[in-house]
Amino acid sequence: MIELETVAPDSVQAPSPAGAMEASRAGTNVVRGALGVVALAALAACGGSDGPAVDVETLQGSGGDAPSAKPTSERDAARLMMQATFGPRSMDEVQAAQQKGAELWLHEQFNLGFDSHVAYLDGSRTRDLDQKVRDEMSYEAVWQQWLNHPGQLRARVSWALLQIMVISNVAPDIRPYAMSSYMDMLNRNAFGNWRTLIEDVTLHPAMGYYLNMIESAKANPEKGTHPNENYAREVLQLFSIGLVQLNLDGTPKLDALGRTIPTYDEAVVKGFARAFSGWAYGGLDAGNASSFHDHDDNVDALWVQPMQPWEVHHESGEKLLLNGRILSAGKPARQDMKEALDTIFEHANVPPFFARQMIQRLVSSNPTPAYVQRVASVFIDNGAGVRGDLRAVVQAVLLDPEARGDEPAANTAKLREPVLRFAHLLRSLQAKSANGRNIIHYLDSADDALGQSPLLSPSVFNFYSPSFRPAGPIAAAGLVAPEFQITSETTMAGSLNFFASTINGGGYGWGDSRLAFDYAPWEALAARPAELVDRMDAMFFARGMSTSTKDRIARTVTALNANWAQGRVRAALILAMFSSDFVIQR
Amino acid sequence: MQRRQILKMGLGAGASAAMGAWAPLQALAQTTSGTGYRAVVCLFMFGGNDANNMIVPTDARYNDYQRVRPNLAHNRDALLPIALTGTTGTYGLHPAMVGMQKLVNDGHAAVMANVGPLVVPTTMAQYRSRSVTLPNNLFSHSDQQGAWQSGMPEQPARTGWGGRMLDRTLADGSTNRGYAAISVSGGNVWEAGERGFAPYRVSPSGDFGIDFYKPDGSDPLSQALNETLAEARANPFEQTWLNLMRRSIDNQRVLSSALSAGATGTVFPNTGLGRQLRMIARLIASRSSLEVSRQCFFASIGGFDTHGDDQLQRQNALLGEISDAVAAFNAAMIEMGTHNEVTLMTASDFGRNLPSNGQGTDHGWGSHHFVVGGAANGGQMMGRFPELAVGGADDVGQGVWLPSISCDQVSAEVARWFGADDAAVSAALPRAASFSRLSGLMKGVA
Repeated sequence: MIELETVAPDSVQAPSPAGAMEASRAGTNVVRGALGVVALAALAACGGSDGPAVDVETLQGSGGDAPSAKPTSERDAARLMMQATFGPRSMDEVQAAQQKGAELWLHEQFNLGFDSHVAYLDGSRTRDLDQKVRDEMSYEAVWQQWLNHPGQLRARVSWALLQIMVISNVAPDIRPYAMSSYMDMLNRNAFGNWRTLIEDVTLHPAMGYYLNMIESAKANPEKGTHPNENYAREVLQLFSIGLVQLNLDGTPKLDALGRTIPTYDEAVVKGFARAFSGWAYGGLDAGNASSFHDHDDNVDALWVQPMQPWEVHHESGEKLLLNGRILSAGKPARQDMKEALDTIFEHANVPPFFARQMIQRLVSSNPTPAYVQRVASVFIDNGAGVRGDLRAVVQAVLLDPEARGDEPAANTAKLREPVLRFAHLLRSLQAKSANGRNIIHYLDSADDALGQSPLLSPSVFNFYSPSFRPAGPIAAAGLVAPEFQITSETTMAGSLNFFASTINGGGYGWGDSRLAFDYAPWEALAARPAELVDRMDAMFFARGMSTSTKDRIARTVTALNANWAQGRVRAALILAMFSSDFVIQR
Repeated sequence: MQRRQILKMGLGAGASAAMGAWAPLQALAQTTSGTGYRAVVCLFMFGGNDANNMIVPTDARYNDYQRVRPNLAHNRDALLPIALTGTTGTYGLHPAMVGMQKLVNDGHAAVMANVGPLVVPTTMAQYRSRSVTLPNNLFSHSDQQGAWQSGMPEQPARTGWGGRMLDRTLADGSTNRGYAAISVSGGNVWEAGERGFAPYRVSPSGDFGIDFYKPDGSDPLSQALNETLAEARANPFEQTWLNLMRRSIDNQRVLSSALSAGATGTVFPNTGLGRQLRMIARLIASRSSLEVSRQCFFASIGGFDTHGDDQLQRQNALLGEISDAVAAFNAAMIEMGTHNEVTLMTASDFGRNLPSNGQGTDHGWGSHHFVVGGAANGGQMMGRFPELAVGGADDVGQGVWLPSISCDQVSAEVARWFGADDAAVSAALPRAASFSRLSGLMKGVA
């Protein structure tokens, strides 16, 4: 195993987890994987990133024949931009999507890759004064992808996956390479298969460390210890099936007395904990029993490759899994892990559980049961007999009648989370920095920032629960609204102040990494309020701006000095940021 | 515009829209219960605190403790001795809890031993045979946080016992009623009432408001914001957004003006929890300008989900932060003359199991907690301390304790002290009636 320290600190030649993980899955060694990545790096270095771009042809879920273009309405195309991107960068982008129609646009997106987050760390380390990687670099890599990469759908879907299969640097501290390698892993699997995804998640050292599967050893009666239950519990409760049995349409199954039916009990959690015991860092000598616990985890390379099993630390007895299934005793750790994940994958809850959350992240907080069922059915069978095809699932989410068209149904709505609104502002104002990078780090202060920051959710329960129900009209209507869980009197003031100061300051950050807005096309319209409003409607409101908001922006702009183009544009943008028809996606 | 009108506007949309749905429920309080001022502070320890390392027997039972979790056990000498009535054993506190030790020994804090969510009194045999209803989804973080806060552990948490207690102890329509429930630390279900009543969230920094907004609407942008707020939106998502924006502006107008009068001379530690409790002390100090006579405050500290090998280090920092902040808060209440009017209680998802998973510990059930303030009969232990043995009398499996008392029993005594009558207690804490009273926990409660 090559350790990163032994590699010349000269950019992209360090082993990349993209290479390492793929290599491991293919059963080859890490060095070959790394060389593959280096070769790619020579081919494709992308502006503003440190390359290497990940070759999309190596990813599951790419390819296929392009469907023919089916032009749609501007409103429908603009809605798709809201649902599936971090905001349009230009009017042309919306118009191009309009000409293609949703299906062709999605096809093109499925065939766009991403720039390796780990490669961004490699590049950033060479620029660091102390040649160190730092947590902040992992956050920058996320924003690089969101703001710049044309593969917006992959970026949105991997962000959605991060909010289901959560890791967070809030506690405990996760190494930068671990975080960025995890992001690469989610990006690779975004349009792949759920079964591969859940295994890559399970064996990723970032997750192993976050939920303590790493170094979880079999029971030791002398010391009174037992396998760690943390990952076993959360993979069931949060990542895959949830607490109660579901119908295909996502509604809970009820017993004869009208009560919900649990999916598992404590014995099952302990069974999975036993099945998942015996794993620690890949790259160590698994033949040496003591290296399981005793090793130097400061070695970066340990954090970018899948965990591996130590049979001596694996629980050998039988394990109770879901639906009464029992793993017989004496199987090796890898087989137990695979069968445990197969058992989860086969569970009837996975399709509706995953479908509902993916719809919530992209389209609407309250999909009808029929919508959930349509997407869940595609999860069960993509039309070619394959279960868990994520490309097909994402396509079903976004092509569904509840997602498309000009007139969303009454309950098709979601609050756009703060980071989406911020990314939208940056993209639609063509924010650019001198060095092509960004310096967006901690936005999670509720007092003076957005109250949300990628890779910094408060816990494995994400920023919000899929079932959060704010008191008031939403609760009264029997609806849920996850994103309102991080929206409060405090975050409201903090985030509006954040938007206003960013807009008034003309950009975000400092130095060569400062992202500066291009206000020119907006200021050109400042003297013609109706045209200014029209452009805002197209770029920020997906052509759904209400008449009252249009009037209000026009009146506010008109009340300001006509020669003060800057003031007019900024006031209009600040007003847009707090308008309910901007923050609520319909 | 008068404050009261502003607040009615703020709560109006939610309350009226929800009326239909909640109409059959018990009516809200017509008059405020009792006289004087009362406040309850809920200090929630998110993640599930390992109370087995927070309160440890220092008598012969210490050896049981040490034997079961050798890699996690404190040295007996390091434990901070506390003198407790209500028990024959001797106990020590976690070494980081110097401030809390003094609170217990000075009679300002009572210890609740092995307390946790229960639906009805439950024996080990009943637990094993599942012959009584148990709390929903034991051992799940989200559900057990909900169970502690909702007072209805057998179902998903929708409203909280703090909110329902306020529903019925603070006269409907009374001045600034909306500020009866304040959170200095994010959302919680504890303070959610049954008619759109939701906690006001206040930043511990004391910075309020939207910088670009002038309430008198003297500039075009402020005017536009006022117009935005005045508009009703048919879509419930859009209306909820506008309601929150309005509440945010209420904070700016009402709380910042009230807080300008609220100060405390006590120095609080400059920690997350220290800043939260300091803000609560300042809000209590401004109670006469707010004109609210019954309040609930929610504070919290996270990071207790200590499965990993950093358990000892992490819990040491967290319990130290709690101990220092609560000691400062208690001192502030004495300084402000509100020591007998404010009660702080701790809560957490669950305790953790006694044996180690080789690194840290996994999810448990019953746990130990504190009730702090001049109105609590401090220096005593209520509830029964568990037998520290895997497979022992209190173990439901792998060193997880069946609670000896329900958290609702504790809450019900605090609710009575707060001014809740029988009907209000039964609305706030409907399961408490099937348990015995914890008489003697609170002073002056019959």
